[in-house]
Amino acid sequence: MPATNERAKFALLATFVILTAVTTILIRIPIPATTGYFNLGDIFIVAAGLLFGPIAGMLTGALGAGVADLYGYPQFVLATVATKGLEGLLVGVLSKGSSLRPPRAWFAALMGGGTVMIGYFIFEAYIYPTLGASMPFFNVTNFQDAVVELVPNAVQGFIGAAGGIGLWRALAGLRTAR
Amino acid sequence: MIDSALERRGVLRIRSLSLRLALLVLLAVPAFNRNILDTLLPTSLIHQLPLPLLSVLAFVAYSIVVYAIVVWTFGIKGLTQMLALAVVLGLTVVISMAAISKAPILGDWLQGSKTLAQVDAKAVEQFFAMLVVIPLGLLIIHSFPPAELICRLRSPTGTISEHAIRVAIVLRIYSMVADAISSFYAAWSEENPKVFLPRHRKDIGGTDKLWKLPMWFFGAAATWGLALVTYCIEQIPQLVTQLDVTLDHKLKGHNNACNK
Repeated sequence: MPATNERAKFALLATFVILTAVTTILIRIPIPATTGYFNLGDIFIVAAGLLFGPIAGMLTGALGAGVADLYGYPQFVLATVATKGLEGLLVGVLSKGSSLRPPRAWFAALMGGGTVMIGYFIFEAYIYPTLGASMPFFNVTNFQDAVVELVPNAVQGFIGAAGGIGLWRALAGLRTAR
Repeated sequence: MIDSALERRGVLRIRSLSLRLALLVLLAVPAFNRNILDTLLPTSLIHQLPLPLLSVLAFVAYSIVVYAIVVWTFGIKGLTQMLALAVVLGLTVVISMAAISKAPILGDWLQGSKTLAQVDAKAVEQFFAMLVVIPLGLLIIHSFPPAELICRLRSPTGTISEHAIRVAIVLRIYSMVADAISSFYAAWSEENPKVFLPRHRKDIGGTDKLWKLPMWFFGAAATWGLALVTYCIEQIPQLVTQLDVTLDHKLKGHNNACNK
């Protein structure tokens, strides 16, 4: 029975990781000015952080979004694993506690969204240009592109936070009802 | 799709898992490599028609090869289902791109130095790429049925490592999510069109359209996401029990299913 419980927990986490990866790959709306794109994967990262805590949130963000970037955007895997992993971790840490109320959940989710915006900016404006000087593979962004992407990343962070809160409330409601 | 996969048609007839994986990876290289895809689909030249004939023919030939392997493995019905999903998602992405690029302020910001023709060309490329990539992705996922994997990953003594079981769980959930996404959108559009298709909403219109349309979008996306998650989570207890039964069955020496 313990093995069965462990497998069920693993399956639950795998579901969120895979949902993040699949929705990120399938609904990928390119941003014309840069090499980035909009996606809905953050909804599942925020929901995983709120529902299952920091480790699950971090794994969902790092693995789900990282795997998705392997298709089409392999240069961004490094930034995505770090940024989205941190997003899930932060949402989980800030929402950890006995009774999670919507205001704190909103705060945690918005901080997660802010992490995405700031994290990608740091990678695209500073880390990738530095790495790109010695490794052409990473030579994909510059400071101007990073500034352009601040707005879409902020919009995406907000959509992820709002959608993740909606999902958390609905799933937490289902859990309570049972 | 999964049932027909167990009948061992098409690529599933290749018994060696590593050979099957190698062939599928080889098939996927042009679609998953952006440089090759950009060469095959030079849509940046779309405003300078005609397009290079050789490139277009190469892309069409590649698509035909992918579709032929899908039909060989899952039949014409499988290909039709995959293409229906690809078209629906492709149109969603293209329409969203058009809406975003023409949105006030945000559109100009996101467009940057690109012209509208270049944005449209990118959308056309994205659409045609999705028509090939989505069936190909689903073909790869469904080419490794978890039950078969459990049989193959067994050690000679009949035991199965926990790692192998977890790989099987991940693959099973992958195919479950892919199936759910492919069948849900069409079913919901027919059963509850007001949620997914704005033309059925008489209350969206007039001057407050700019406000109500995004609200409708959030509502539809949240409903879709919730139903998807609920459906997937509901399957987990059954999936784990099924796995336990399968493992128990195989460990007791009932290996007929593995020997087929």
